[in-house]
Amino acid sequence: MDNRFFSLFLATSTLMFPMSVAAQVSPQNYFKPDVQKSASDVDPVVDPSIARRDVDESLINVDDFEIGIFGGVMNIEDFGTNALTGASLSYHITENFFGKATYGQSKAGQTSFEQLSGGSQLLTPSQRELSYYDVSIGYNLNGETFVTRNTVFNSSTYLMLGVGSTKFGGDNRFTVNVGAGYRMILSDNFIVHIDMTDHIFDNDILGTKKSSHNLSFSTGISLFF
Amino acid sequence: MGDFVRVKVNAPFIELHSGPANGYPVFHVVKRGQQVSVMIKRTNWYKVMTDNGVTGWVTSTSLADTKGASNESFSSEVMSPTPYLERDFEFGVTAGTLGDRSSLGAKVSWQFTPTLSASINFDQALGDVSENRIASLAIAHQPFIEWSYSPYFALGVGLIDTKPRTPLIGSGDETRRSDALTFSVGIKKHLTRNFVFSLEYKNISALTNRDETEELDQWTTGFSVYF
Repeated sequence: MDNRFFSLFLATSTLMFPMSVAAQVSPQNYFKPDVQKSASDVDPVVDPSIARRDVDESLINVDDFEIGIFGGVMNIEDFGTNALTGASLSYHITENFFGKATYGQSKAGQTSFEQLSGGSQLLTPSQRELSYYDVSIGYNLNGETFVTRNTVFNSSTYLMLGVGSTKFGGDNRFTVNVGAGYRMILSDNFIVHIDMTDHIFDNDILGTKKSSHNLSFSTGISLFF
Repeated sequence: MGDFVRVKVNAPFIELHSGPANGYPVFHVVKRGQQVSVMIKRTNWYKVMTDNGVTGWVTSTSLADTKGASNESFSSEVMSPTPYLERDFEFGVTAGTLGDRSSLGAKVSWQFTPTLSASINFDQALGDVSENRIASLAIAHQPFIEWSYSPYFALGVGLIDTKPRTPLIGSGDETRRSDALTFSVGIKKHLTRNFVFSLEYKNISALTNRDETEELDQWTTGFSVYF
């Protein structure tokens, strides 16, 4: 182990050494060639204090990832409100920031026009399938939730902003998602959460191009691992 | 508790918070000389249990003031993630523009020397008229790894699929596929822990069946996590 670090350290030092020398050739020195740098001015190539790994850190369970499933409803603009299911994977970067990747799917209903006209269809059944994926950055507002007088759980309300792709009407559409959610941590690694998200994408299915807001409301469970 | 790491408090005391963030109240202190078991690590926080069964969260800096059961060091050095310059793998996502389209991407890279890395990239560009999917393999060189904002450049080869949008042109499914060469320049910045920010310009030359080569410009920003 020590050997590996030492050789890596040597390799980096070897690479950095010429640059640290180059960095010292400032324009002033360049025009004064008689200024000599003594060897002691140069950073030592090998730093003898190398950290020793004594405590077996692999025994500590690192729980920075959160994997979950969710179900709820999604309102697809002009196409009604329908069931939504999906899964998500988060990585907790700091106590406040996390990154989250989400996949979800729903199925569009009929527009008012389709219902009233009796028979005319704007989309084929396969074009009504909606699926999306997105990647978001989230910010936790950490807190505690007092369920009863003596039952308290750690929780957080979080805000999310991200981008992704929504497949709907036979095409993938660039999507911006803005959302907020709330998670309650019931045990060391078991979480329940609710999320509200606005999926914003351009839509030209009804003839003219417009920006559509598609709101989803879901609840789910997830695990830290 | 057999398998937990046991450490002895070396500082005058350490503070146990009720949750893994600074805002959670301190509800217990463990004095010098007492031992705690380290149970979980989450971001910068460790969940510990005292010998009396009290559990709480301590920061990595306060746990640095402890020693292992037989006086081994438990320094913050030990507990910090892999140093940036010793990373092996990087997983990242990007967002930006490809021509006048919005683009999204994902990449995995393997740092096989401190300055050279190989990566697999997938990009999807979504526009009003067409959709592009690009898969590529690239080799990147980052010459000044010790700079805070460190430049890099990369060369790659790949495949580019172009699919016209359904409602506007025909019935779709007329996907064209061509080979592509990519050249990119960018800047990386190590933010915190194992988190990296990048800004990149990529020039993509699609070698089409037609006579001319199609040139595409892609600008992206990205975040990645390394291990």
